[in-house]
Amino acid sequence: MKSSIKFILNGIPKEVDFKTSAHLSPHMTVLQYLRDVLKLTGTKEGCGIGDCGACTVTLAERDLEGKTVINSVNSCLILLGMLDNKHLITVEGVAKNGELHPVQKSLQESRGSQCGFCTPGVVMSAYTHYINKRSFTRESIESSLSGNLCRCTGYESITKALISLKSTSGKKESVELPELNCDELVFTRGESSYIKPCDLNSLLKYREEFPEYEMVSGASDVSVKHKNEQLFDAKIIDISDISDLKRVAYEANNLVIGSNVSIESVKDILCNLYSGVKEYLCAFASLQIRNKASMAGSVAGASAVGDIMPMLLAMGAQMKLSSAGSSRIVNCREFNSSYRKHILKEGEIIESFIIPVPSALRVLFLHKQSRRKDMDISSMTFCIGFELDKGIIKNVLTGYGGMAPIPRPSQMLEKFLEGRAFTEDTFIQAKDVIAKDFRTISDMRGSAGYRIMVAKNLLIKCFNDLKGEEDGSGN
Amino acid sequence: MDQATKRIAAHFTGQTRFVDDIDKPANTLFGYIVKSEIAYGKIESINIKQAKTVEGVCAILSWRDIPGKNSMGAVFDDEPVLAEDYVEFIGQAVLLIAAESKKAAVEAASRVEIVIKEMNPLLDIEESFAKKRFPFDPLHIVSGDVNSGFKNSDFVIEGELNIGGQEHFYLETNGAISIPKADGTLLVYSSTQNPSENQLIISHALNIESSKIEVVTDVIGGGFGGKETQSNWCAVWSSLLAVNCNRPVSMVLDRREDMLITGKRHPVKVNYKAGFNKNGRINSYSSRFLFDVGFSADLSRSIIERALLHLDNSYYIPAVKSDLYPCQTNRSSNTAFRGFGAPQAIAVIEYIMDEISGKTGIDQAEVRRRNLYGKRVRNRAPYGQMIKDNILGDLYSELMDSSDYRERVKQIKEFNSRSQWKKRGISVVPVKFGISFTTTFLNQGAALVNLYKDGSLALHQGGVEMGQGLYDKIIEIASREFGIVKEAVRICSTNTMVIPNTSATAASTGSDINGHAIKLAIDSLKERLTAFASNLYGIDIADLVWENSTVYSRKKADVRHPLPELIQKAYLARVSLSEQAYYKTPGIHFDREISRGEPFYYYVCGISMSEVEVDFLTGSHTVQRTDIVHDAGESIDPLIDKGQIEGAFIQCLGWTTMEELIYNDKGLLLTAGPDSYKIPGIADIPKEFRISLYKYNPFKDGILKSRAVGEPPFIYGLSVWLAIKQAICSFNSGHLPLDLPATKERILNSAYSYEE
Repeated sequence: MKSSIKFILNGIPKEVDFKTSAHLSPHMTVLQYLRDVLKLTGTKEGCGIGDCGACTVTLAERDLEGKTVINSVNSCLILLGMLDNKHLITVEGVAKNGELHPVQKSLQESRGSQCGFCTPGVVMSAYTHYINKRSFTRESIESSLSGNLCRCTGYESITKALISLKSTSGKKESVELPELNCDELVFTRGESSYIKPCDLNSLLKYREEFPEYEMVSGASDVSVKHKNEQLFDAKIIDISDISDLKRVAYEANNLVIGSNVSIESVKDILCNLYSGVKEYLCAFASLQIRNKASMAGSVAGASAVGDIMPMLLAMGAQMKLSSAGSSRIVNCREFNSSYRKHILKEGEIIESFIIPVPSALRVLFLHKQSRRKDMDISSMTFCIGFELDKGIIKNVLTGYGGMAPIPRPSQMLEKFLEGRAFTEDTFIQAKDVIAKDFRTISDMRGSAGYRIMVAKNLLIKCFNDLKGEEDGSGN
Repeated sequence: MDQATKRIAAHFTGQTRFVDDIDKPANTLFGYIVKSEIAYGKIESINIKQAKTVEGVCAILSWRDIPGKNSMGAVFDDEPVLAEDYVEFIGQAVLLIAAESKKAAVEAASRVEIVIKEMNPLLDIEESFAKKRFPFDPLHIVSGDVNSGFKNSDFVIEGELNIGGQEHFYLETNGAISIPKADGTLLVYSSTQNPSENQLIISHALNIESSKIEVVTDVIGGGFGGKETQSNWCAVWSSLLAVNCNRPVSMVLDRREDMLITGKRHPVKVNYKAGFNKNGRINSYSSRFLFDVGFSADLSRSIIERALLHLDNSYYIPAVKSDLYPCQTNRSSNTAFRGFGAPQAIAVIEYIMDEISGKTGIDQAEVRRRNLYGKRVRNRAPYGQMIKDNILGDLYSELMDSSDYRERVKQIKEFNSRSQWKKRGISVVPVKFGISFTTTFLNQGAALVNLYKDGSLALHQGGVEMGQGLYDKIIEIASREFGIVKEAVRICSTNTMVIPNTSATAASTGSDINGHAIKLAIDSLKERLTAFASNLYGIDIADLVWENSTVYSRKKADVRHPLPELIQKAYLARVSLSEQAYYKTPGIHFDREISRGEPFYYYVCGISMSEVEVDFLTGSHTVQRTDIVHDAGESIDPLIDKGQIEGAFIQCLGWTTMEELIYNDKGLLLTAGPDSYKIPGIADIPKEFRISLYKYNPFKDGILKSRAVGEPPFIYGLSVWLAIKQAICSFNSGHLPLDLPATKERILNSAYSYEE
C-alpha cells in the first residue's frame, strides 16, 4: 500500500506523495494539477467536461503485454491518481531544444491557429497521431481530431497542415515509462477517499467494504458530474489499471471482452466480428474519450441514450457480474431494470462482456442518430442483428436507445420480423410495429415525433444497407 | 523570428498567456457570481449571514455595495450591474463573492438564501410584440411604393421564417483580473474587444475617473462580437470586488456560466411578402422583423439598423418596406455576433430568391444574377447610397466558370433521378456587406509610434488581437510604410492608458481604422526624418528611399545608410522620434430618422456556392463542395484572409445547420454547454473547399488597397442551408418552409410534410 504516485511529466520523473502535499489529492483532475499547481498553463480549459478538447494531453502507458501505448486523452476528465506509472506529455513538452516539432511547424506554416486557445489541444491530438506513426489522411485526421473544437479556423488550415505531413516517416518516437510499481494507492483526507486496487480480487474486496464509492476508469462521468455539481469531496475506487478487467479472449463460441477495455480497443476487436461496428463506434464520443472510456462505464450509467447497450442487445451479448466470492452471468436484456437503474447488487461489478461469435449467416445494422457526427449524445439509436437464411429473417435481436426510459429491444419488432422474407415490403410493414411499441418523449435532442419518424425510416435504411452488403454493391 | 511570427509560434508551444494564464499576484482572490435561477421575479429577501461565516470568504456584495452607478448599458441605461428589485433572466448576477479559493466561494454561494417571488416570464417573441415591449423605438424603412409593386407583379408570395440565435462559443470564456494599486488606480487585464468600454463601465460603477483605470488586453481567445459588451460583466464585477477587498480578484467564467449569462446572436421571426415577374426579377419586398433582444437593449439598436441596411443583400429591389421591432424577453441580452444583424436580413432575401426560382422555374443562380445590382442603372440601395464599387456581376461570372456550375447542375439532376433516398442540391449566395460602423462617431482611431535610439520601432493602437491577425497586419503596414524590417518592429498590448477612447474592434473595421492611424503616424514621423536624412546625407528628398531598414538615394542605390545610424543621429540632433496620429473614416453619414444616407465607406462583395447531399431517411447531410470567390482587394496577408473566410463560413454553417439554443418553459437555456450545443467539428466541413481571392476590383478604399474581411464571408454559409432546401425540393416539391437552423429534425419535417 502506498500514498504516493510516480510518473514522468515531459521527460522529467515526478513523485507526488499525497500525505505530505496538503494541496494535492489524487482525485483532482490532471488539468487542475497542471494549471493550478504546476502553473503549466499551456493546457487550456474550454469546457471542463471533455467536449472541446482544448485540454488534450498525451498519455503513454503499458498495455497488458508491457508494450508502450500512447493515447490522446482529456486532462479535464482523467484524475491525477491515474498518472501512476505513466508518462504524461503536455503541449510544453512537444518542442525540443527550442525547435518546433514537425506537427507544430506545419500548423504554423499553414496558419492552423487563429486565436490560439484550442491550439494546444489540436497540437496534442496531432502529435499523438504523429508519434503513433499513423498516416495523415483526411479521414484519419478527422478521427484523431474528432474531440477538438475550433471556432476560428473552420479546420481547413489545420487539415491542410496535417495532410502535408503525410510523407513523414521515421521510427516511432520512444516514450520512456517509469519503473512499474503495482502497490495499491490508498489515500484518505477528510471526507474524500481514493483507492486504486491493482487486481480484481482486491477490487471486489474494496467494493464489498465501500459499496457507495464511485468506480472510475476514464472518469468521463464522474469528472463531468463533479464539474457541474461543484463537488469537492469524492470517494473513488480507481479501476483504470486492473489488468484482469482488460483481457480479451475467445472462449468456446464467444468473444469475452473485459469490462474495462477501452472503447477504442473494443471498436477494433469487434470489427473482426462485424464490419459495421467501426463506423458506429467511431461516432461514440471522441477519440480522446474512447481511449479511456469503457463499455462498463457506459452501461453502468444506465442512461436511456447510451450507444453501447443497444449494440450489445443486437449482438445477443451477456455480462459476467462479479462480487467478492461469487459471479453470475446475465443476458444484457436483463441488465436495465428501470429508468437509470440496473440490476447490479451492492458490491457487484461488471467483470466482462460475453459476445457470441456470429454465424456466417448473421448480419448486423447499427445506427446512431445525433445532431453532429462526432462527439454528440444520440437522439436515438437503432441496432438490429439477424440471420439471413435463404432470404428468410431468423433469430432477430434488436436494441433501441433513446426511445424508452431504458435502452431495450423491441420484442414486437423481433417477433414481427421472425420468419419473414427479407424484402423491402417486410420492412415497410415493420414501421407500424415500431410506432406501436414505443411511446417516446420530447426533449432537447429531439421531439417524440422525430424519434418515431427516424425509427421508422431506419428500418428502410437497414434494409437498403444490408441488401447492399448482400448484393456486394454497398450503398 | 520577428514578433508576429513568435506570437503565433507561442500558440503551438503553449506559451501564449490568456487572462486565466497570467501569473497572478499571490494574494489574488477568486471572484464568483450568485446567479438568478428564475427568469422573472421580484427579489423579496437576501440573507447572507450563513454565507459570510464560510472560512475564506472576503466579500459578498449586492447592488447596494456599488459605490457608483448600478448601470452598465452600452447605449441605453437599462442594464444593472447586479439585480436590484427584479431578476430578469436566468443567470443574471444578484451577488458577487470574493474568496480565498473557489471551494470557499462555491460553498458560500450555496449558503446564500435568496427569496424571489416568481412571476410569468416573457419568453415568446410574438407576445412581446403584442404587448409592445420595445426597449427602444422600432426601426422602419420605406423606399418606393411596395403596394403598386405587388400589383404589377406576376407572382406575389408571402411567408414566415424563424431564424435561430447563435452562441459565440469563443474557446476562451469571458474573464478579467483586477488589481488595485496603492495610489488608488486600478489595473485590469481583460479578455475584451473593447477595453475603453470596460474602462468606462468600471469608472461608472466605482465612481472613479477613467484616467485611473488601466485596462490591458494582450491576446484574447476568440471574440466574434461576444466580447464587445459582454466582456463588461467580468471586468466590472472583478473590479468591484477588488476595490472592496483591496486585493486582486480574478474572475473567469466557466463555460456554463458564460453561456447562461452572456448574450447571443438575435433570434428573429420574419414575415415577408415579395412580388416578382415571370422573368425572375423582384419588384417589391415588404417585411416585418421581430428581434428577440433579451432583457435589455445592449447593442440591439445598431444591430437592427445593420439588418435594415442589408435587407437587399446584393439585389436591386425597386420597392422596399420593412418594420423591424426590438422585442424584449426574459433571456440574456442578445448582442453583437459576426455580421451584426446582417445575416438574419440576408437569410430572408436569399430565401426569397430561392422561392422565386421555385415559382418561376428559373435556375436559382440565374434568378440571383438577374436581380444583382447594376453598374450604371439599378444601383442605388433602398437607403439611398449608390453602389459605386459594384463588381457583383464579375464575381458571378468568375464563380460560374471556376465552379463548372452548368455541368454540375446536370450531374445533380442525373444523381437525383436515380437515387431514391439521397438527393443533392446546390445553391449560390452572393454578399454585399457595408463596411463602417453605422454609428458614425465610432469610425475613428488613434495610434502612437515610438522609435528608439537603436532604430527599433514600437507600435501602439486601439485594436484588439483576437485571432483575426490584426497585429500581423499592423506590423506589415508599419514595416512597408516605414521601410523597416519586421524584426525591428514590435506591437504593444492594447492599453487604455496609451490610446484613449478607442472604438470596439468590431464591424470588420479593425485593420482599416487602426491601420490608417498607424500609417498616418508613420507618415508624419517619416516626413520629419526624411528632412533630417536629406540634410545629413545630402540626398534630395525626392530621391530618398526607405527600404529594409536602410535609407539611400535612388541615384546611388549602392550606398545604403543603416536606419539605426540615422535614428541615433536624429536623436542627438534633437529630432522627436515619437508620433501620435488620429484617423476618421471620411465621407460617411446616416440619418436615422428617415433611414437615409451613405453609412458605408465601401462594400465588400463576394459570392459562394455549396453543393450538399441529404439523406432523407436520417435527415443528415454532407457538404460535397464549396466554392468561394471573395474580393479582398490587395490582401495584406492572403493566408490570414483565407483563414477568415474559412472560419466565417464554418461558423455560419453551424448557425444554419446544427447550432440550436433550446430553452424550457421557465426560460432556462437547456443547451448551455458543448455537450448539447453543437458547433461544427472537423468532420462537418466541406469535402472540397475552394477559395479564391478576387484581385481585380478597381476601387481601392481600404488600408493599403486591402479590404475588410472579418464579417462578410459569414454570409457564404447560407449557401449550405439553401442547397439543403434545393435538395428537399427534389425530394418533395411540396415541402414545408425550412427554418434556420436546418437540423436533421427540421429537414425531415420539411421534407415529409405531405407524406405522413
